[in-house]
Amino acid sequence: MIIDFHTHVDSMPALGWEMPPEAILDGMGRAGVDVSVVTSIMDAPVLSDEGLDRMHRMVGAAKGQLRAMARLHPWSPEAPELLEYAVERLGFVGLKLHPVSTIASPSGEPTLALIREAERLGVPTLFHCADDNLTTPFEIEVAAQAVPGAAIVLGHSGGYAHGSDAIEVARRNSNVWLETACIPYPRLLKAAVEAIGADRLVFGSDAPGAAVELELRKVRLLGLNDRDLERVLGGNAMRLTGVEKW
Amino acid sequence: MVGDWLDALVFVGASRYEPGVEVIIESVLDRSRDTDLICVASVPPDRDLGRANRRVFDKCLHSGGRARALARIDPLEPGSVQEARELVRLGCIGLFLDPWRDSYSISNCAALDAVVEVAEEHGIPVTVESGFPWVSEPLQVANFAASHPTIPIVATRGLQMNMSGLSLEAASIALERCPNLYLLSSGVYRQDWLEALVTTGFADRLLYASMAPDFHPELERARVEMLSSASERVAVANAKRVYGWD
Repeated sequence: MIIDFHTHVDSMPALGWEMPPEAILDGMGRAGVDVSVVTSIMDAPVLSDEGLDRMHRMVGAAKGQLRAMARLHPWSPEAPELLEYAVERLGFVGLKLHPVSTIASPSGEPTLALIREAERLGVPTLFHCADDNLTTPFEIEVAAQAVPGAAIVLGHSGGYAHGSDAIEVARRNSNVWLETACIPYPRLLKAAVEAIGADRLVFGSDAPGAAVELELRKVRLLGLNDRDLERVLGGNAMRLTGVEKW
Repeated sequence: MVGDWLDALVFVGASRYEPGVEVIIESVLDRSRDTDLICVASVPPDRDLGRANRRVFDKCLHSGGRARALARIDPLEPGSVQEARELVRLGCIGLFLDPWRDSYSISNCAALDAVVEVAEEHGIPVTVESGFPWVSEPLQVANFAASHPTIPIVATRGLQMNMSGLSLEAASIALERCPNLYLLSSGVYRQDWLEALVTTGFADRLLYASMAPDFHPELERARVEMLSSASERVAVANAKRVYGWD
């Protein structure tokens, strides 16, 4: 089973952005992906007061092909409660944090409170982890070490220039996972597997902006054996979310 | 399916930044019989750019017409103008500037003027390592391109590097402002943006480049192959036109 751990659906008329579920489903069909984990672009509830319910409706219509992750703004006092609602009532499978969007420090107390709630609920926290301030691997590492029982996923594995840092952070923190979306260097992902093994690397595409078939091809360029490839493409995501049967 | 390819940028030789990696032109040409190359010297371990440039030029000269060289020039080095002039006289088909590695701003470096004059005298392109923060951001490169409107300015990495797509708007503005600005497709994970360039009239301004060994040629080719209506132009025709490759 292939699981794409990082995709987006949203509707932002003010920006002229439309990312309907159909865009994800079309890409999945072309690439042979079975299930995609989707998040919004806007951070509930600050930029989108009904984003979680809308996401739930979109996912529900996809009949099991899509699973949702809650993208929340740490500065909202309601955020931990919303995460509980999303996971326990709506069946969401994780928390997404994007400090470029929220300018909330990964190691600030509002963010840590949310990560602790994700830990309590048994779901992972997917960080946008790249080259901008507030998103670099070493900044996120502070949060990972502050909540050592939480599973922290470094989405994009450090982006263009912080891939080696991301590998180092994953190597020395067993609660940190790496995710493959958009980082344009297959050799760095290969180095990640050599450094930490294939058990903490998950496939993600960041579709629909990125093409899921290209992102999948990138992972296949790593030359992993069948067992490791199966883990990276789906097995690890199942284990990470605790959803054994998707 | 694209037939022939012209890879508009390959780094050749040993690199001080990647010990143990050395790209040999003959090997690349042997591996990819359908691909001609535009090569530039990697910064060698001893940083002797003059010798590295001549080594690459000599290899290209003996490639049976399948490889041609750019002259890597550090404008801050004494004698850089004379070096550029000599390499162009020998037959280099363009200049290559790396403001990130060589520590200057592409939009504000007095020493650049005399170097670029050499390209202007001969009407040859200048390739700029682009997308690097502070030194070659999209509108910094646009400022440079606007100052040299008579020659093509070729920006690497789609002119931008940001994992949230924060520079895509600036890159699009740069293209609109500067008709002499061209982009290399390498490393651009946002396939939707590449497709948008094609559909908004910029298909003739996009050039395939692997930028190997930094990027993976197979993955970079796949990005171009997906631009079905424009893939032939991006794969070969545009680079031939820009570099006067007959």
